[in-house]
Amino acid sequence: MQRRTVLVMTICAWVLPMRPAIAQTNSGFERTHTSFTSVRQYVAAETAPARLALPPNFIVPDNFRPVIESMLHDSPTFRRQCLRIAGEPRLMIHLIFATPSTRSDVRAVTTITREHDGRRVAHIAITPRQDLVELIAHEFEHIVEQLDGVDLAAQASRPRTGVHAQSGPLEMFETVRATRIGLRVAGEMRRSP
Amino acid sequence: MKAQVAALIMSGIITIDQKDANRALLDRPSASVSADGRYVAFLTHSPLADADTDHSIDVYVLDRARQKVTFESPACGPIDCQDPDISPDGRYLVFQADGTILWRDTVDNVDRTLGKGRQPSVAGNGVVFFTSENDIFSIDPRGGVPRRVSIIDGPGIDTALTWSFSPSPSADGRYVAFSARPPFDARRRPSSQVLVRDMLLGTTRRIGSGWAPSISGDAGVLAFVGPDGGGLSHIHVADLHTGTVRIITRSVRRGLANGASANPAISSNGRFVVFQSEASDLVAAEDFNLLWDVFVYDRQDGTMVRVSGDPDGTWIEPSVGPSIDATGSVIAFSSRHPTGSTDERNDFDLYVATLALRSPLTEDQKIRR
Repeated sequence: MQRRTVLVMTICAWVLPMRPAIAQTNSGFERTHTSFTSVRQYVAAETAPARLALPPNFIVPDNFRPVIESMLHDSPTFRRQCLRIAGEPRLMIHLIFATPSTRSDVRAVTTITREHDGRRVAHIAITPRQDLVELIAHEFEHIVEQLDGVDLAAQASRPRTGVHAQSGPLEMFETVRATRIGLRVAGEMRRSP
Repeated sequence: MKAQVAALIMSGIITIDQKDANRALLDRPSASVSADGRYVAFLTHSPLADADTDHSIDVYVLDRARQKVTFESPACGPIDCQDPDISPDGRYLVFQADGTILWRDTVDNVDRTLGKGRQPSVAGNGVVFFTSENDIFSIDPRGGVPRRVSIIDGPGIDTALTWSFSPSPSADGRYVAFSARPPFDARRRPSSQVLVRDMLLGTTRRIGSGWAPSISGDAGVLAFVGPDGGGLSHIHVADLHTGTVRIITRSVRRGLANGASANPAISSNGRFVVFQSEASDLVAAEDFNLLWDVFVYDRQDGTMVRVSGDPDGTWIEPSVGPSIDATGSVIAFSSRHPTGSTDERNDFDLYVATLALRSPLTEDQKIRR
């Protein structure tokens, strides 16, 4: 065992001076051209901001505020959604309590329109129900999908993409992505102490 | 008796700021990995070192062994750099700045301008290949004159393929894969072809319709993007010994994958192909983000692994532009996924994933393609 350790160290001592990095270790160059603090280990659980205020481009009625505030407090996934939305100053979101007029079985609908000057306005209409958290996160994700440039019509035309065109007079889509994120946020809220 | 086949699993990821808010999803990779995976050349908008005082895009090299980055493009000044490539031994760098190919010897701290061009790639023998105007050229930066590589004269090759681009050399620089197409013609849709030039024998061989080739170190295997006839692009892999070409981006259910794929890079040993895809059915695990992710395909056992994700699922944000080391153990790519709780920007950063072999495969992973 001892012999093996010595062998490894000997090889390292011989190989390392051949590497470019060692050749660049003159002190002036090292000090001004290198950084030892730029490399970070990725930790999956630490990718959401610890705290976040409500995005300024998100217009919320007062009766929604308590639930939105609790989602911001308890759900890392919702905080990431809000961060993304807050970073889009040319987007405005209006959330209202309303029964969507499209179909009786639809619990929530988001309508996104693009103005002539390039601004986007999203109207989220949500039926007042117990699963409010899930619905808000679900509809938020539809907005993020559009910010990501997802072509829902093209995705819906291909098999098993997780995008489904809804029948009806309007061009409407449902996505597995929004469904999963809605459920994830609801789960984070339930698990929160 | 079940075969004991090893599968790739992720064993760790490190991140570095690139702060690239303008990256297009199909842009060429912004990183290049040395053969042993120790060094990663990459672009960043972020001034990571004290000597980097401008706000341009610069080239840095990550030394994974020492967990440090080094500013390698001070010669560019305030000009944006692009297309970094690092030699297999990690000593030489090439990149483009304002339409000029720059070469750097990181050991002797020597910078040299090689001429006008783009898309530079450095072979294991130190020779640099690049696109200039509509041709591929090679040059030995340590002394030599440019040689034209893209000579379209092989049997069965359309001589109208006069626009050549995207060179990918073998380790010894003898073989160079590249794409070629006819000039733009409004009356017909140009068909890009993938060709391989043998610099020793002076012959050119047509591999198939496609673009963005990546050739293995021994020039035995070639990965490239090709059409499927249905409007989607897929990753094709050609065995240059047998002449067979097959599509590896296949659904875990049946048929071809349900989304486009792009930017393939093959490990020098020819075993692994890394690429980006917006398909959601390449792996059995749910992929619902509707965006580009990075995958690695093991040609030995036919398994596919999504690199851009956590053990418990996919990332919501897109991941693009992968590159790979010689043996498939280190993969670098760019992703808009947050690097940590303080990353509140909506931009691309560098991810460097270390992969390891695990044995045996689960039933879920045993999908032959």
